[in-house]
Amino acid sequence: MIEIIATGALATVQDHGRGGALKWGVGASGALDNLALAAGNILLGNDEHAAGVEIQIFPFQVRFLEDCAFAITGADCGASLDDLPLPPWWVQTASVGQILSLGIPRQRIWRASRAYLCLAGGVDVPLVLGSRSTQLRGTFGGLEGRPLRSGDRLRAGARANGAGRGGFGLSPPALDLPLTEGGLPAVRVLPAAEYAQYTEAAHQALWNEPWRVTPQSDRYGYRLDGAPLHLIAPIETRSHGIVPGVIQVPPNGQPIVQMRDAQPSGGYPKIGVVIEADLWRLGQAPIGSRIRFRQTSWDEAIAAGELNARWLAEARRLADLYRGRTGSS
Amino acid sequence: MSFDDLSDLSAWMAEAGIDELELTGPSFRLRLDSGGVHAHDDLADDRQSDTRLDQMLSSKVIAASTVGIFLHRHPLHEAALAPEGTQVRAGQALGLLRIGPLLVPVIAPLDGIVGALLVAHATPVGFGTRLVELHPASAR
Repeated sequence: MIEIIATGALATVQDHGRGGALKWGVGASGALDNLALAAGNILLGNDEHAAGVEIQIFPFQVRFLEDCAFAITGADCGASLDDLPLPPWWVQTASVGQILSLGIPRQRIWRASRAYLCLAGGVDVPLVLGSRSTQLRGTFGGLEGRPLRSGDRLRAGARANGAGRGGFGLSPPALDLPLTEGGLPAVRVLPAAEYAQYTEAAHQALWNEPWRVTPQSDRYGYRLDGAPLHLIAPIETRSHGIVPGVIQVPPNGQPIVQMRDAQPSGGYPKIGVVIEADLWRLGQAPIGSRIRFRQTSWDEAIAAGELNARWLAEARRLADLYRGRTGSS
Repeated sequence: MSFDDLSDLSAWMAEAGIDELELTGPSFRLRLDSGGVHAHDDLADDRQSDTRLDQMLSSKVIAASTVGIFLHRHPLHEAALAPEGTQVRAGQALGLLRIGPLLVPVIAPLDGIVGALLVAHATPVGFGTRLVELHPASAR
């Protein structure tokens, strides 16, 4: 059991998302950096899909109300357990009464904005429509369907299962699976249904210009700022189903990438879609940072997903081996 | 192996700044240290001095607990975890051993002050490779 003692807005309980719920008109939700959440669970020996806490405003502090193994992943927030500094992407065992503090993300080597706190056995909140993710729009899932606030208590699914001395960690996939374009973080994009109806200049800008993440970016969608993307001729589309990653272009020509809390339908034309395997990269892009889009193919998109899965499987194999050898955490 | 080989080995050790080298086979053990050269075909008569040596080393040099790549700093950090001269507490990480994506800490077994880092950052090391000198707090 942990108690939140300091949090900014919009820290929420998230798991791998409410897959399959679009058919009920319910959005996906889930961790914006699903690799970081999965890695935190792997460090603890949890199911990869167990729920954790997604933190996006800092500082953030929790008190452990009982001994508990935990892992921190995602943005490097200079975490400390009481006065013991913890490396990023690390698993450790806390004793009752200890306080875990996360500060403002350090962004020198990896510009990331969201941190994840995982607990042994996962954060124990009820399953709703097959997921523990907070669905803010529908106010269900997570803890009472809302962001966390000071005084909230979250139960761990399992007790501390060993007194890990110094813990151990993982190297972030941002370093192991780097993807840049022109020196900027990149995400791979498939042309979407209305791609061909955009001008050649729009195509050139989409692939070759940097896109700034504006302050109007959140778990619902990232509004990007860059060269305006214009249609050859105005088109009208009816509202239709959309998924996280879809890049819509409203009439002002500035694209919006739908993120995990996106509504399940929309009517703006779609110039592309960020592949599922790269959504975590976008999910970590801080407001004000610039990104690039790289054109990709179906085959490459599938291969990218497989590469992520292989990274997680290797992390799982080594973490399980190490945990078994040392009885740690 | 001939005495010429031993001379070569000894010269290479001096050149590389290696204080001791030990080779163990099914029926022999060879140990060279900077104080001289001696060869044995019998393990028994050397055990006593081994124990003394181990005691001396265990209090001062932290060795790799696994094969891996020795890192002075975390991959997300620019500063070393415990550069020479750092005062550390027992249990604190002096460096990391990287095995694929796994990062295993090299832990200070006792309070002390970090001495020389014996292996360069990002060097592949074997089990038992001497990594970090630690001057125990009690010895000061």
